Amino acid sequence: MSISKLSFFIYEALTNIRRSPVISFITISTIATALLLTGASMLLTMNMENFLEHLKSDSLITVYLKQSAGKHEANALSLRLKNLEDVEDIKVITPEQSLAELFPEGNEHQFSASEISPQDNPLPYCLRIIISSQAQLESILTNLASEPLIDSYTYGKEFFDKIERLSRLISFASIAIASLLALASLFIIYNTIRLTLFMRKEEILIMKLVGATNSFVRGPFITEAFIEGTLAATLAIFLLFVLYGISAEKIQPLIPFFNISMPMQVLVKLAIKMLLMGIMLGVAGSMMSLRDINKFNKATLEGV
Amino acid sequence: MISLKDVTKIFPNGVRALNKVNLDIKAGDFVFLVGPSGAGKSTFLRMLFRDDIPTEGTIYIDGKDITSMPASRIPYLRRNLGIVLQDFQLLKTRTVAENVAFGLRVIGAPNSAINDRVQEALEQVGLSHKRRMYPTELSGGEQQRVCIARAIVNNPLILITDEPTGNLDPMISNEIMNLFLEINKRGTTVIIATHNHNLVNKLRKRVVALVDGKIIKDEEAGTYAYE
Repeated sequence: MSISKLSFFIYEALTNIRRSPVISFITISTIATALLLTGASMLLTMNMENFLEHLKSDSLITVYLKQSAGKHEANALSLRLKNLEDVEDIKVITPEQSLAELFPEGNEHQFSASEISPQDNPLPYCLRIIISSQAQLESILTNLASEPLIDSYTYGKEFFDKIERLSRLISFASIAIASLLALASLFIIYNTIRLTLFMRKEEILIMKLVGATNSFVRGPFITEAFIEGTLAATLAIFLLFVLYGISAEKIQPLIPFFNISMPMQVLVKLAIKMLLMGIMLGVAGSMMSLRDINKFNKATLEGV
Repeated sequence: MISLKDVTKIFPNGVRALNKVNLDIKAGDFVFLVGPSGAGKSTFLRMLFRDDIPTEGTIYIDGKDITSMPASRIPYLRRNLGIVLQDFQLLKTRTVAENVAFGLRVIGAPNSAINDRVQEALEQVGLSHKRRMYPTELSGGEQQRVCIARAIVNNPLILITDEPTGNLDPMISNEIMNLFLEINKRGTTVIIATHNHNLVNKLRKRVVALVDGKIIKDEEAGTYAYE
C-alpha cells in the first residue's frame, strides 16, 4: 500500500470520527466495556490459579496417631516419614499442644463444657507434614495408609477441590461473559458501520464513479474501526490497571499470606492480548458490514 | 475507440430502453446524443461506464469488450473515463480542490502529483481562485465546472456527460460547452447527451438521435432535429 493511500485512509477515518462523535463514542465505549470485563475476568482467573498453586505448594497433611502411640512411637514415625520424597518437614504435636490449640484461653469453663481437661486429655499425638509439591502426594498417602500406628489423616483435599471447582467456574463464566460481550461489540460495530455506509452513500457512489476499487472504498472504514478498536483497548487497559491497583490495595490486607500483585511481565502480556482483541473486534465488525459494499456497484444514485 | 454491436437493453419491467443499437465513435470525436425523454440516452451512457450491462450485444472500448468484463475490472475502466452527470454529485463537506482531488486520491496518485494536477484542472475550468470554497458557496454553473474538473483531472480518454447544462442558464451553458470543446481539442473523445437545441444547432458537431431505443439519425455536423 502506498503512503498516499494510507494517509488518505487515516485522514478519512479521523475525519469521519470527528464528524460523527456520538457514533464513535458508542463504538469505543462498547468495545472498551467488553475488553474491560474480559480483562478483569482474565485477571481474576489468573489470581485464582496463583492462589490455588500457593495453597497447594504450602499444603499440609495432618496425621492423627492411635491413642496407644506414645511420644517415642510418634518421634520414630516422624523420622521414618521424613525420608519420603517431597516431605519437607514434620512437626510432632503432643496431646498437650493440641489441647492448647483447641482451647487457647484454657479456662475451667471451657474444659468442663467439653468434658476435656489437661488431666483427662483424650487427644492423640499428631504429626504435621509439610510437603514441597503435589507430585508425590499419592505415594505419601499410600505410605501413611500402610502405617499401623496411624489412626487417620487429613490433607485438605475437599478444600482444594472446592477452590479448583470455583476456579474452573470462574474461568468458564469469564469465557462466557467475554464471548457474549464480544458478540455484542461485533453487533454494535456492524450496525454502526452500516449506518455510516448509508450516511456516506453519496460519497461512496462518487468514489465508484471516479474508479475506486472495493478495497479502496473499504479502506477508510477498516482504518476507522482499527483506530476505534485501539482507542477502546487503550482505555480498557488503563481502567483495568487502575481498578486492579485500587482493589488489590483493599483486598491485600485481608489475605496477607498471598501476594495479589501480578508480575509486570504478566500485565504487559495481558495488555497486548487486550489490544489485539480490541483491534480484532473493530476490524472484524467492520469487515462483516462491508460485505454489503457490493450493493454500491452501480455508480449512479438511482442504482441504490 | 467505442463500438456498440447490436446492443439491446430490456429492463426487468419489460421496457426496451435500447433496441439493436450499432454505433462506432472514433477517438477524438465530439458527439451529441439527442432524443426525447425516455429515448434511452441515459441508458446508453450508463452502458459505456458499465453502470449497467446490455441484455444482448457487445460494447467495445479501446478494443476491449466491456460487457463481459469482471466486476473487479470496472474501476480500471472508469479511470480512463471522465463522467459528468446532471445532478452535480459533489461532496458538500469538502472544498472545491478536495472534490477535484478525490478523483486522483481514489486511484492512489502520489500526494506530490495531486496538487499540481488539481491546480491544472481548476485552471482549465477557470475556478482556481475558488479552490478553498465549498460547493454550497458556488453557483450551479460553477458546481458543474467543478464536476468537469474532477472528470478531466485524470486526463481521461473519453468524457461522458449526461445533461451537463440541464440546470444552467444559456450563458453558463455556453461557457460549459466551450469548455467541452477545449477538452475535445486536446484529444479527448466527448459524448454529450442533451436536450439543448441551441447549443447542438450552434456547434454543428456529430449528432446521434435516439428514439424509442433505436438510432434514427447519425449525422456529421448535424442539427438537433430527430422527428
